[in-house]
Amino acid sequence: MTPKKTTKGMVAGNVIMWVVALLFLFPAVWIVLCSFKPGNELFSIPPTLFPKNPSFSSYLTTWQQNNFLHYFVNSMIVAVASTLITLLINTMAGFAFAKYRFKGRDFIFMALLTTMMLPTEVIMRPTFTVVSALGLYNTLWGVIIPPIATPTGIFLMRQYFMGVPDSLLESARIDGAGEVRIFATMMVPLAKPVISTLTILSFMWRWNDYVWPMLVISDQSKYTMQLAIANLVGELSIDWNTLLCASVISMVPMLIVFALFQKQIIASVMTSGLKEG
Amino acid sequence: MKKRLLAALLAAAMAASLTACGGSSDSNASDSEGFKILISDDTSEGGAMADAAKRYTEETGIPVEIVEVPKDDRDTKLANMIQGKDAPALIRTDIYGAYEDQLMDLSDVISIDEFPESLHEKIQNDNGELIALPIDVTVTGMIYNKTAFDEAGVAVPQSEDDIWTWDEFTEAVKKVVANSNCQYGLAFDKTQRRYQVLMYQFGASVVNNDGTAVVANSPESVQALEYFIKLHDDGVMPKSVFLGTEDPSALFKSGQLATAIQGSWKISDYSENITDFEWGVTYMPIGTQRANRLGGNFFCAIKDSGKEEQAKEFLKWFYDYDNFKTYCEKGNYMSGLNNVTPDYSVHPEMYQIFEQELAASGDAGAGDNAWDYADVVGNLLLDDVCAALNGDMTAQEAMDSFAQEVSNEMGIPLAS
Repeated sequence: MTPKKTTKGMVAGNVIMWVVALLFLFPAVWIVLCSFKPGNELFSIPPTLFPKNPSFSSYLTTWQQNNFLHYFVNSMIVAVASTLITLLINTMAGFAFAKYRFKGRDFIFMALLTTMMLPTEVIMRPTFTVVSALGLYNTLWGVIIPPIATPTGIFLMRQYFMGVPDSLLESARIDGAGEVRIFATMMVPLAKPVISTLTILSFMWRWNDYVWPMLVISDQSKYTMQLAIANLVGELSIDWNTLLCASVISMVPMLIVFALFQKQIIASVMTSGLKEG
Repeated sequence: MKKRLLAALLAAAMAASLTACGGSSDSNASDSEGFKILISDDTSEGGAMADAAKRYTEETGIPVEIVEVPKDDRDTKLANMIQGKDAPALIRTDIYGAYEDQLMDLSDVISIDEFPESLHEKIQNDNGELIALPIDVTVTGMIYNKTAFDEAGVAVPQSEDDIWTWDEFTEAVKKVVANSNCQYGLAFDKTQRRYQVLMYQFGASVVNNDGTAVVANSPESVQALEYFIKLHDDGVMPKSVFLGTEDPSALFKSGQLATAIQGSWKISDYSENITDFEWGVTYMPIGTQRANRLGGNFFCAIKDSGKEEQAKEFLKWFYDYDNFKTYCEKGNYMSGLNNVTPDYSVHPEMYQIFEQELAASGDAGAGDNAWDYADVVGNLLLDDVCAALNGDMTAQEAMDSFAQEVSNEMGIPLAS
């Protein structure tokens, strides 16, 4: 009786998961399918799931005529550079907060945590003044630098490194490993799952960021994807075809980053056995 | 191995950063003889201004940079550009009341007589300085589903002599809805400007023509709102537009609407994206008078942008007959200059009806138009209209409340 029950439960569970997954997936799939519809099919009643006369022409105009290749490259530069620097700084800071004892450590950490309680919008104006004074206004650096030392990332890293046993570090030190080596060859590989998480989060934040680039960038040639997409929605008219194509294009890098790093998270969940007894 | 990974990460970060740096140091218009134009809605309307800027650069060698942001973010962007010492020389905008003091007098660029007289009061400040130059004007007209009207055997007015009254119009579209695939007789965008068209046609307005008193709760105004509510209660208009987020353009494109009161800017969109049925443009119904709500865009030049002369030179070029005409034709805009009539590339006969609507609009709502009150007043109007439509207030209460709010906001007394 018992195994049968479990199977039934599993089936039910699976069905629910499929339904929920499809519900979440539907809007994304709908956007992708619609992006292949010519303008006259977009509003046809009754709506059709698949395009009757699929066309790639909107993608071509989006890519070429509307200069989206250029904006895509700008977004890539911002998201990749910002994510790499974020990872570097946050892993090092998180490690230091977790494993070194120094004067004022807890105070600095508390101060950092406090900044998490301030919404980004509140500090935008002062941040803008700083960026402007540093001569970073209207440069991609001005978009990349301000958000790199995110307290959320440092907090994530610190919490993770707290879980790494001190004895591991001590034995490495006894074996003669320097601090840099310990960090680079032991700590970073150990932190793979949390690094993957932060990579996904950071890339997503920077890729989807709209308000900050809007404030800092004023040359159209330095616009990111999100700024360019926002301009497709006019007060009086919306270019639906281009909007749909641009949205699909802007989804692709996120999917790739997620696919790459999600595996890391799952893999390390399955292999993590390192806990101090 | 892992160390190498870290080194690679670092190197990649540096490389990416260097690229970012290199890409950002060139072509800064504010350092050279060039200048910037802050604009909204250019891409979505065909990029006519970007095209004009390109032509100007080709002819004169002076770089013009178009800075485009969505309309809602335009004021924020302007403030930040000024703070970043990167003020645009020119702004293309529909409302400029909020920064009137920062605008240059442009009377030495072009004479005010080149522009329609109905706009003169609006484009000058209290000192008689010409602070805004009209670019395009927008008016609304009636776009209809020709296939549906033909199916139902209902004719639309063919000339200005046999225009529908609102009651005749309502009867006509009810017949169309009953005998075609259309679900609704009429819809228009959920904006105060579109609602004001109805107000003016019923002989009402927000402030009186010389702008000295708020008349938004006049009997005519209440009557207009009652009619508007009745159109919804009878199912002629879909409630989902004003009480929800339904897009009238989507309704029309899908063939569910018999008519839509919309602007001339819809013609190019519909020409491209409707193939399942035929459509056309006819005259809007008449209330106590024919009326329209004028809209459009203006060029304003910022004082102390450091680019004042460049801005004026560009404007002189822009308002040259040929250059201006090309601009209008590229964006299918109705001209804000008196003597320019663009040759529209699609459906010129439809634009002609819009031009007739413009000519027939008279001075209804002249006071509102000259005031160009901020969006905040418009939002108050929408809120009160929706409250009445939703049954929270009567039409009289809604307009009383709106009139009081406008009076408080603008410091103009209520009409006694």
